[in-house]
Amino acid sequence: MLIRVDPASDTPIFAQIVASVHADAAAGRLGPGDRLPSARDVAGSLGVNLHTVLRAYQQLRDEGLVDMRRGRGAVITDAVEPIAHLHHDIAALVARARTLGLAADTLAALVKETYR
Amino acid sequence: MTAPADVRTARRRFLLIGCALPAAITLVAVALMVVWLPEVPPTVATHWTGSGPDGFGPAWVVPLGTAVLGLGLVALFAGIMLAGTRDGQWGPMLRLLGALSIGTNVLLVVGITWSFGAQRGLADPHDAPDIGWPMLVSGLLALGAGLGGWFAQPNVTTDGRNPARSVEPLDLAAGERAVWVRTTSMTRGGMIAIIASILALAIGTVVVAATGSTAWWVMLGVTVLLVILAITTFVFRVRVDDRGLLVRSPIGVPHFSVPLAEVEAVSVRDVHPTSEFGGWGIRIAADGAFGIVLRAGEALQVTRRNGRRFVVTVDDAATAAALLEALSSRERVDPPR
Repeated sequence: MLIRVDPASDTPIFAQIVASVHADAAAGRLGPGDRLPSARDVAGSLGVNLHTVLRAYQQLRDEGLVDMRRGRGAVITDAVEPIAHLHHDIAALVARARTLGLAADTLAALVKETYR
Repeated sequence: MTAPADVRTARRRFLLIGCALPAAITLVAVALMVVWLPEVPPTVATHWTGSGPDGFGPAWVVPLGTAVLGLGLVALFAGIMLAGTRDGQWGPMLRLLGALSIGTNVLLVVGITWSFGAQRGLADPHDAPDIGWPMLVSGLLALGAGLGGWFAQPNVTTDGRNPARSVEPLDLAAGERAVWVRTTSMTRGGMIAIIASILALAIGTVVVAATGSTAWWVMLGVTVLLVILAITTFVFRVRVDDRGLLVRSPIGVPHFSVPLAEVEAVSVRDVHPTSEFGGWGIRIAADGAFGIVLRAGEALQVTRRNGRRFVVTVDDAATAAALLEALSSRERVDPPR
């Protein structure tokens, strides 16, 4: 799995970590039962605070995408499958929005609006 | 799959040098020992220390054991070759394997046959002559046979095995940081084979211990060592971040790394374990490439500054390579002070 954070971005670091895990799930890089690297390792690799990574993992748990168990770490749940199924649709939609010159935020807002 | 003509030649030569010839030598030696059976004492010396024979067994066991050992090794080498080259690939490791087969065979068969034959006409196996000479001569013959076996085989390396694909670097912003992590593990078939052989050895240890032989603690040591090796090499965690590439077993030992400053080039390729690395596990190839080869297929390959390759078989190697390429090119442009 790939986790990337840009300290210069306006998006909070923990949200960038969450978004990275979402992207990994969508790209099929994460499957049910896969274990996320320990928060300490991720914090060390990215040069960010341990609590920032833990906050990201907690949000993923609240979403139901990971299961946190003592001694087993953070494990991806079955909730990953619907995300992976939408991978191609999302990629196609984003490519189309890009050629039409639609900004990412606008597209996200439109999707949210339609979903309601 | 139909292999190219040179691979078919190499395979036939392997079967001749590494299989047919050792099998023939074994059978001749066994026949000779069977003929000698009436002349040797019913119990013969089978093991020596520096000061003389210290292990004894029934005479008929020696030709039988030689047949089992000699033909078993031939079957093993043939099996490795046939199973490992089904994809039509060939490389120097297979040539080495063929040479090893004939060399090992000569060493064992000549040594055993000589020490057996030297006991003809003896009444008491305790008088068996020293085996310094047989050991030395069979060692030299084995070396000659191995070298001869190497040169009697053609030098065939299929280039289809090495289509290293370079990758586009991941699109990283200037200050952006990233980490890629993936677990890679041995194929289930490989694990089952290893666990089965360790179990067989464990059972053998119990049997030997039950017979009261003192060799049991050596076997126990080997068994424990193999268990530790198996545990530490079944699964590896592969990580790419701004420190470089790290491949580490779950308990932390062993671990291997390529620091970012050492990275010259990054690519993705398919690995053929037998033809390139001579098998699975932590391996060094004939050209000095270091491999953590747990299965065939997709692998991340890093070429170090000194030209040596570091290969690890892992899924999603393309993403790892893209990140490592991006990080190392950033390092090349702006090395840390």
